[in-house]
Amino acid sequence: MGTAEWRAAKSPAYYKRGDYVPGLKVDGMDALAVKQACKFAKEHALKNGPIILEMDTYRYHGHSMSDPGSTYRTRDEISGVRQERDPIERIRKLILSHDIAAEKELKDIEKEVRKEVDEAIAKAKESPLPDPSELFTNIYVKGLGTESFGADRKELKAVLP
Amino acid sequence: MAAAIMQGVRATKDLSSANYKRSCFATPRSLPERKRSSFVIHCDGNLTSGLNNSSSRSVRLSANAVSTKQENVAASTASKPGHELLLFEALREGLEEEMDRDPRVCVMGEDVGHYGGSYKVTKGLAAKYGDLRVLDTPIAENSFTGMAIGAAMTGLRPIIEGMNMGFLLLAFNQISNNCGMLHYTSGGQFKIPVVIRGPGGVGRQLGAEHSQRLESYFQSIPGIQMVACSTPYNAKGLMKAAIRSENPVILFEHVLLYNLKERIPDEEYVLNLEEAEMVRPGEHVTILTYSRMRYHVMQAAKTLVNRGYDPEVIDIRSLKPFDLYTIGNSVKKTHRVLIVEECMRTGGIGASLTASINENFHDYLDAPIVCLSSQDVPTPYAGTLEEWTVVQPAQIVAAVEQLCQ
Repeated sequence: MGTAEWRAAKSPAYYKRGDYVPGLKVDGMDALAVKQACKFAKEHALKNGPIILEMDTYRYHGHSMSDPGSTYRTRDEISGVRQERDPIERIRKLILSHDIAAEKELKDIEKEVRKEVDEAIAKAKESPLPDPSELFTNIYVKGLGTESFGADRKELKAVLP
Repeated sequence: MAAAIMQGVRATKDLSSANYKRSCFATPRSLPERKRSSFVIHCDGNLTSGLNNSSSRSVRLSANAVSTKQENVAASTASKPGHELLLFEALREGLEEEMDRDPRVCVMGEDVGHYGGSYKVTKGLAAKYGDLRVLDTPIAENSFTGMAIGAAMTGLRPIIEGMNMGFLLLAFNQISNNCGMLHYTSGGQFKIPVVIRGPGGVGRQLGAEHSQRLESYFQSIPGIQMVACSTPYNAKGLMKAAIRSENPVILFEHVLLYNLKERIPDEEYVLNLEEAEMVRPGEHVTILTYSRMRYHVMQAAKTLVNRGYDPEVIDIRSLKPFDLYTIGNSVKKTHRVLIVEECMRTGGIGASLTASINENFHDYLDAPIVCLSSQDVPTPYAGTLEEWTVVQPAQIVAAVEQLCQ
């Protein structure tokens, strides 16, 4: 999580390492490029066989709760990428420069989406935590009909469906 | 082989986190099957307890035990001995001492070098020993485990760190076929003195794939040894013993135990890899446990003592092979066994231990062995469900009460 790719691999051109599986490297922060690449890859795969797509993206935050994400790179690097290569900003600039929509319409869309997300978060926080009987759901597809006991063989009996 | 006798003297003290008393237990141990270059003698007030049923071989050890005990007790009564540190610092200390002592010891794993280790166990070591001795590997567990085993075959003593024990499942082929069996299949020509270590166990909402307990999967592999540490004292001792061992050793740590604080001795000490630790002697029931469940058991023990029971708690530490000597003595005393573990019910360490005790000590048991273990389900992400998969102190208390009826 904190080791740069050029330190981890001798040949960081991963899309070339498929031997006789061809590869394509795409700028993963450009939404339109990703769309074109996937379209091309789908056609190629259906006709010729597998193809490797290497999507070059950037991770803003740390990998997990224990990784602050700043011990192995500078904050300037992170904010620099956010300014130049951020996918949503790029699309916004393209839309505005080609006059496809006005600034106000984009702001309205943003407000609406933000409201939707906030509502979802509020609803999630209000929802109750799962019931202990859900411990055994979806373990097996077709049930074995066996009984499963709690840790002391008394509590939490369930019959696996 | 130089018989270096190292001793660790631990003062009995109350741990603020768990609030229980630990007493030293005198067992002069010399193992007949394996040649060991270091012995550990824990010193105690009653030196006679372990010695009465020992053979003449250990009489030699007992004389040394008495003499060293005197001088160490004198030294430690001066002021509070040792230094206080957290479990991951204890592991790092053990690692650093071994790397200083033997230039062939090296570490490899993901993010151990420049990042300092995902749990800070190897922090600062890359700056001190260089990039090649504390090696950052790519995210390819099978490959770097194989690399370490190859290095061990040619004379190095690598320590493989898995960022999480669950990732080592990718390296199962290397661990089983190469690590465990190469000494046998090469007719004794190659030895593999690796240490495979990493945090496992159920953490705080880490999800199903990052909360695996691999001790149950590895326990059948012939040729390896498994130990589980639970306190900073035994983490450092077991780490050093594992590095010095000529056999491949898997050291199981636990994600939630890395921040435990304890006072450990200043002087060098190495623990015995095959020995169990008597946490709390008692009379009514033997509770066998390891790793994080030790703390749940000690918490339950407080409740049990209030209710009038006297449980004997043993941290088995050595998961393969089991320390049947200590366990057997305990069973012969209390006649009731409760096993508390974090492994799965099916095929876990508890299951093997139950079978072992039943085979060897069946006549001494007054009641069937009760084994409390985790549910046979993938560990849920939801906090409440996750708690339900792991054994809680209330369940331990209930089980003891039922067992002692």
